[in-house]
Amino acid sequence: MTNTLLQIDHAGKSYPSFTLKDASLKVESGQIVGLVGRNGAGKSTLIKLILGLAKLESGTISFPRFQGDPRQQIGYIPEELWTYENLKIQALLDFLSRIYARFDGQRASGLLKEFDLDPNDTIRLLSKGMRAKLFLVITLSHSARLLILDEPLSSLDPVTRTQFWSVIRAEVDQGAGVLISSHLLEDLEQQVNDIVMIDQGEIRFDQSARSLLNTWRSVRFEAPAAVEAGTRIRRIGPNRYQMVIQAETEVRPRLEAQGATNISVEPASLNDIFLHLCQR
Amino acid sequence: MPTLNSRVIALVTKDLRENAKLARLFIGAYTACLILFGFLRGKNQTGNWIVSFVWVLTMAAVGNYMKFVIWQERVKRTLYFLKTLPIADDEIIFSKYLVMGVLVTATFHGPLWIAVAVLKIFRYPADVMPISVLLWYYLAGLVIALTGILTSVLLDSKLAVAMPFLLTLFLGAVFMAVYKLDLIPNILVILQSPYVQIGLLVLILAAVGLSFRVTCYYFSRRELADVLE
Repeated sequence: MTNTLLQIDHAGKSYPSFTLKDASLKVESGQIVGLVGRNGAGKSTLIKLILGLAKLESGTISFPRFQGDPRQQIGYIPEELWTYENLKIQALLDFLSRIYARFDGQRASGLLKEFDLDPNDTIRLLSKGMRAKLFLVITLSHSARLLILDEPLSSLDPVTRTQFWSVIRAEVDQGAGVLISSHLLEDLEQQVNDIVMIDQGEIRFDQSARSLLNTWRSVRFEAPAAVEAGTRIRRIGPNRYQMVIQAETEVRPRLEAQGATNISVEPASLNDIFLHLCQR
Repeated sequence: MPTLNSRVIALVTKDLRENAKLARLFIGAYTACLILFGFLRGKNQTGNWIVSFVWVLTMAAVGNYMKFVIWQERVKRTLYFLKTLPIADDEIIFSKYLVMGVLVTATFHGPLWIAVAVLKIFRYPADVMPISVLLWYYLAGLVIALTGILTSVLLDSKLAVAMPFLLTLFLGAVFMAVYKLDLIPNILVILQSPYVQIGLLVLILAAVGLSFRVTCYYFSRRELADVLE
């Protein structure tokens, strides 16, 4: 049996001011895939296509491991955390328990406790962070095998974020697959197996986080004036500069020739790589 | 399995995003008819055309605002939430055209209903209001009441059934009393006053506002809390 939970092949979608072109990726069981890109790059469009919230115009999206309605096994945390605002948490969970075939009420209760949510709270009174936690509870309570998480971290405090990743990691260890879109690149760098970067509606790369981080280096140096190194250089302080280069590129002699000092070459962070590839 | 009511809610919001163009068409056609009507009335009855025209424009502005800014956004968010749930597509039992027609009509039923009443009075500056006017009035009321029933089925709201009926009965009784007591000629004289016309305009605007509020209420209260009770 295939391990692939989600397979996207050459997906395309056009809006008047934006086009998603030829997007392909897959999410396998036991894998977390991070989807990164600037605002408006196409992350949410891709997620909407996966969930059927927007109509696919070209390509295919399939869920090879799922039988019947795939939504029974997909957990989704949307960017906009909206649900029935006037319901109490428990009422919403009761409703969802009738819709999801594998809804586990006991697990839902346990997760509510773990996340400090009161089942008698009315949803419209919840903060954004609490809503995010509620959506996570919903997602985990119906034993979803594929989690689609659209910017779930932005409203969570550091403690809850740690809790969040711990819960997600436990799910992944049990065979779930996760596609997560986030701007919190430090988190993704630590947690994900694969990184998919999307830019202006096109997937720029899809590779393992480890190999991506091994491909790039961050070079920091001091220089009295701007230097030229054949790549984009970012000013990070008074007379301090940084640039991101491919691991095999040798720039030290070139920088030294232009008066650069205190040159350090370190592994680039995902944030460094992202800035390097996305800045125009 | 999803409850029937959850299916109904899913039905209402199903594919609404794709139906946005259709909704705009509805609203556009409705607005165009009202403006045309206002001009035609203005041609024949110059005394009242300004009132009609201002009313028409106000209706169009408020209606469009209501539809595009608040209503659609709320329904869209509901749609997004519901479409991620495993509720089968084949549970759609009405066509999207019917759903949109009902929703748009229901949105405007308050102002439409009052407009029918007010415009019918303006239209007959004679001293007698023909019985056909009242028949037209009741026919309009009936259509609106039926719309209310259909809306209530779709939105699972008892209020949507009761309100158009009650309003129709109450205002129908008032109009009938006015007619039977032969007050129409007096009313027509009173209506010639610009102050009264301005007052009526304010009332109409208030009715539009009320309708707007009631519509918002429908869409904010048609929550699953009601469904689950």
